[in-house]
Amino acid sequence: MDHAYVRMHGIHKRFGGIKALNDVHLEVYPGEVLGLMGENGAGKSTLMRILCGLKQLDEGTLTIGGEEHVLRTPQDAQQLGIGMIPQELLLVDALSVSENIFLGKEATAGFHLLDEKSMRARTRELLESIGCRDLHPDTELSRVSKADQQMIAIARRVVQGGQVFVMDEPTSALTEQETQNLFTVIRKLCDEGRSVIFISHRLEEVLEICDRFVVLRDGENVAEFPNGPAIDREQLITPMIGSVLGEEYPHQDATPGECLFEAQQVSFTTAQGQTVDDISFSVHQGEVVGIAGLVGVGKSELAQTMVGIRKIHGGQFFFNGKAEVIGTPVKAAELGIGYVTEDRRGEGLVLGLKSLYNMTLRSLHKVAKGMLIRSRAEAALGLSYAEKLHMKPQYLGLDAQNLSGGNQQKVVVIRQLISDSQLIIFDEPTKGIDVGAKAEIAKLIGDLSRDGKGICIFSSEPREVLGVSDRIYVLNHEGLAGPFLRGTIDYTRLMSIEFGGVE
Amino acid sequence: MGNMFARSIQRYRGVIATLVLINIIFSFASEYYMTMYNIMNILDHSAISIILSVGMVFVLATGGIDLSIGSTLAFTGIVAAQLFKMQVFWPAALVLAVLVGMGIGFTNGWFITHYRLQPFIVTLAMLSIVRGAALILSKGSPIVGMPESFLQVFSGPRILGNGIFIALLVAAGAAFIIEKTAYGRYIRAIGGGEEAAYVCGIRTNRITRSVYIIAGALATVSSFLFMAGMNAAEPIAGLTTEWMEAIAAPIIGGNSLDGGRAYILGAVIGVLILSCIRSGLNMMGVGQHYQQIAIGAVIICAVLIDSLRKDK
Amino acid sequence: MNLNRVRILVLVTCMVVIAAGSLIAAGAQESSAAVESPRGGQVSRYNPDYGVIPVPSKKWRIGIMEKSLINDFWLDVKNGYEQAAADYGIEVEIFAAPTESDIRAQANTLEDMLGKNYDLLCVSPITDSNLLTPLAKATKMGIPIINAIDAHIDEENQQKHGIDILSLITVDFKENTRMSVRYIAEELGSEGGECIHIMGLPGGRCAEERKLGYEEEIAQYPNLTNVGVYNGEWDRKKAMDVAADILQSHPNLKAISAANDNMAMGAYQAVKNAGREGDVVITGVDATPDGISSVMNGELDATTAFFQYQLAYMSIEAAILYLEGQFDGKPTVVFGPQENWSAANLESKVADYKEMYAGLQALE
Repeated sequence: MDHAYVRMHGIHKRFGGIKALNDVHLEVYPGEVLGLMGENGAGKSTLMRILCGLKQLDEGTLTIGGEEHVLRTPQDAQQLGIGMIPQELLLVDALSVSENIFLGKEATAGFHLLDEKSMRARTRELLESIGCRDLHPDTELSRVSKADQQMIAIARRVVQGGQVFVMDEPTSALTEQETQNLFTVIRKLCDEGRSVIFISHRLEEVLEICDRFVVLRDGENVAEFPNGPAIDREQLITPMIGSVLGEEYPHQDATPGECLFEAQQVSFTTAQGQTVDDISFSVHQGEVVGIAGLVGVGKSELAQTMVGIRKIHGGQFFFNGKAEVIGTPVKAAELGIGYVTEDRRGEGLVLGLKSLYNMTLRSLHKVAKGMLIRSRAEAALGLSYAEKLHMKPQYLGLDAQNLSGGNQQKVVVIRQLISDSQLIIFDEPTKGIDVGAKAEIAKLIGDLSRDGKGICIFSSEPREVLGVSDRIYVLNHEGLAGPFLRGTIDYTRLMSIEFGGVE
Repeated sequence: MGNMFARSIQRYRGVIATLVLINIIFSFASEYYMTMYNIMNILDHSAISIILSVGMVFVLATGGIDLSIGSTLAFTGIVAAQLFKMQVFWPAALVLAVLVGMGIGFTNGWFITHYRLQPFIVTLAMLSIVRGAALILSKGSPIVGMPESFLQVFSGPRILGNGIFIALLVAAGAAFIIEKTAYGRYIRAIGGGEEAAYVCGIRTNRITRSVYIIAGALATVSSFLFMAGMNAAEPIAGLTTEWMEAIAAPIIGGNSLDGGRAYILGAVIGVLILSCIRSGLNMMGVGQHYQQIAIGAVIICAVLIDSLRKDK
Repeated sequence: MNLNRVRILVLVTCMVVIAAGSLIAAGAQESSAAVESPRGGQVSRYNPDYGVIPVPSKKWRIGIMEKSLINDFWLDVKNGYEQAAADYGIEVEIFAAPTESDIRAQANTLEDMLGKNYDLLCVSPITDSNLLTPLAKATKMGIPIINAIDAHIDEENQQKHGIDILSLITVDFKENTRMSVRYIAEELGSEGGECIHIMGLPGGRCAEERKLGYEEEIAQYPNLTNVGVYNGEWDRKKAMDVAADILQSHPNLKAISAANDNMAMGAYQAVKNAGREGDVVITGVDATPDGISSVMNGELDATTAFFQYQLAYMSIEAAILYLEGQFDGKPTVVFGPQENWSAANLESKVADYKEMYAGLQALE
């Protein structure tokens, strides 16, 4: 049993007060595809980052090729033959396909001159082997589709050599055919005695390609299945979700009022360039609607379409019963649609501006007399909301970038409240927020709905959606399923729909 | 009010200290430096750069840059001078010139917002185009002779001209707009996070265009001071020193090329620092070439000290 | 984070040290110019009209404003000022605009200089108008002004703005080509023959005056025939084309006077192409290093040299004369010396002037 190439033992990792990994162990054997399974936040990514030298472990040992090693940088890991093919592509847009593949490992023909010819030939050979026959080695990367870029990233990994390849969601941008091409490459690598650690939310794929499974939950090993092909999806999901479902999210029933917002047969394009069609749903006054779905399925994009940041390709939105074209955020603001973005630091906050100014950014007319901002009125307004949301008054004077994630989220929420939004859209409302603040945000969402506001939550955390929503929709690769009333859907069923299972 | 004053001192203590230090050093280095005559001179020479810098602060606050203001200064000056020659009532000529300056700014802003081109490139191109237009309109040589009452207003009494008062008035107005109005808040929001400002429902394109219009208008106002000072409109006015100072001074005063900050008083002090250095080195009899090194060093130091402050 | 701050502090310190070092170096350079034994009580070195220059009664301070310091011409001027100051034991401080187009910076710097209580100013304005305001101020403050070299403040502007200029010390452009014509007359001897002039861009003062000088002087020689003045636009290629045409239409052409060395070299190329090398006398003006090597190689026959170093030197002499109260009756316009340089005297001339002119030093 001791011929494992990688052996991670007793790994502990903490972020602040939170245990991300607790006594985790992991072995990788030559020639295998290891499926690393778990929900969002189970610790998969942290573990892989440690393996690739991107993060340091707090406790535990790392044995690679029979010797104990300490990995301080990604270069250390690469030297030992361990490399990651990350979800976010790390390619250079301005370079050609061939240049990208050989970046940092350029072939030379003496005197540091680049051996363009051989690099080009090798690129063509590689691309052929991964099924990208149509790609020319000299094409500039920016002209290559996202899917092809993914394949190029893989080709680059192969060129740079290695023993263990970590693939984190490698198929999220790929079509069925491209996925099959990737699997061919993976099998070829394994035949050569190398190993692949495969992470994916798509159960069918995982079941198809993996030889062995390790399941993590809440930063601990919970199950291991040595005989991959013999496993079915239920067996795999059960340990991932566990059985305990506590009262994490306090909830009081709401009394929905009139229909506030409706989407009819809306279609839009995701960031990966895939079209999502025929989305219809509604949000009523005083209710919380949850839209669940896996990362990358198009939830954020749907939210963006609702507030005019992303283009709507077909269908119609209705607000207060009237058909509306929401082409820009200015229009959304006029209607009273507020948006609490997932990308707090990019789209949500003006980081260099004081928190108070961030809160009032959308409703300065309320505190201004003519052109003039009345500082005192502005401060009073901000303070009253801060108190309501249990935010310390001294935070108002700090630049938004210096606040914790939870407080940043509160600032963005307060902005929507001050501007009297009737509908507030939350995209991943508790992402990157610690546990205490999570409950507070959840409670806040309930309070808002009781004040008669319509709330729409997009989340890839099933517990959150189940905990706070009155009605639930699920977005998966086939479209939008639901609605399900609160209590008529449980965790297992929700997960199963998210993974594209048949109803 | 007193509170605001205290806060200003706090924010600008670095540049104020630099300014004081420079003045102390120079008053020891040269007996001619700390004279009434020279102090008046420094203030007088600062006027044009202050007005240009104020316009630049608006642009910098949104994360942009305007390289074309030097050319705008020359072109609008020539336009005004040609109108003077055509016997147009001079205040009307100035109003027309300001409109021309705003037009140049609008063109900059329009290319930047409508086609999403980089401000550096757009205004670099405009720098060249407007300069060419100025040379054509003036046939390459200065236009001499300004209306007497125009000279009275913009140049005024010989020893300390009206220029510095006009400049300070412009700066005070700008500071007021930036600190006290929603518009001022929005330009900083755009520079601090254009995406967030856009998502939040601010008309980012319109506001971005407006700052280039302001920069163009202020470049025109500064051209009035230039003409009054020279008693001529020069097609090669503002070729280098003026617009480079207009970028350097705000940066010295704590503004950032990344946007999000709008420190008018900082920019004014930045101009004064540069003027004092030039004057002081002249008083010491230091050669032109060495002055250029010294000014470059001051700019780098100011930016370094600023990044030091951010680290804390 | 802390390390970063330390690093920045070190950097700032380095910058300050570099800047301070430059300034000290600058100071050292300024002071080194002001030694050597004072002269005076002798006849002016370059302008006999000045007569005997008195020994300065005190260490006068003269402020100098040059156009720029970024080419050989203005560096030669600077050397002239500094040598004269050292020779006569007075003090000069030299300023300039950063570039020859930075009109505002020149005006501002001059205003700064007004605060330094100079006894006299020597200025070379960039344009005819850019220094009007500070010069008017200077006159009001009672500081005497010498307009040295290049753009000049004319009578009209002096009166309109209340500026008193003691003297304009500059180059006589007419004399440039008069010298060329005299040289041609001597070379052609009693036989004489047909001559042309290739002028610079019409409209410019320099081009027009050089043309006038040619026309006036050639009228003095009955055996020389002026067959025309043609426009070469200061351009070598244009001059070559013009000369080629004329060689066709005037097969008996004996001499070409060009308004600068550059055009003269173009004319030489045309003569060579026509196979008449050695047959036509070619002269230029300016004595540029290129022109001088061309004379050395036997291509051009002569060029007219005028002396910016000497102009600067003379400006200081004029300043001393004025400050010592001996300037009365001196002309308001003073022209510097100029010389005809040909194969006959070239070597000794270059040797004579090499010390003063960077361009000549670079010749070998």
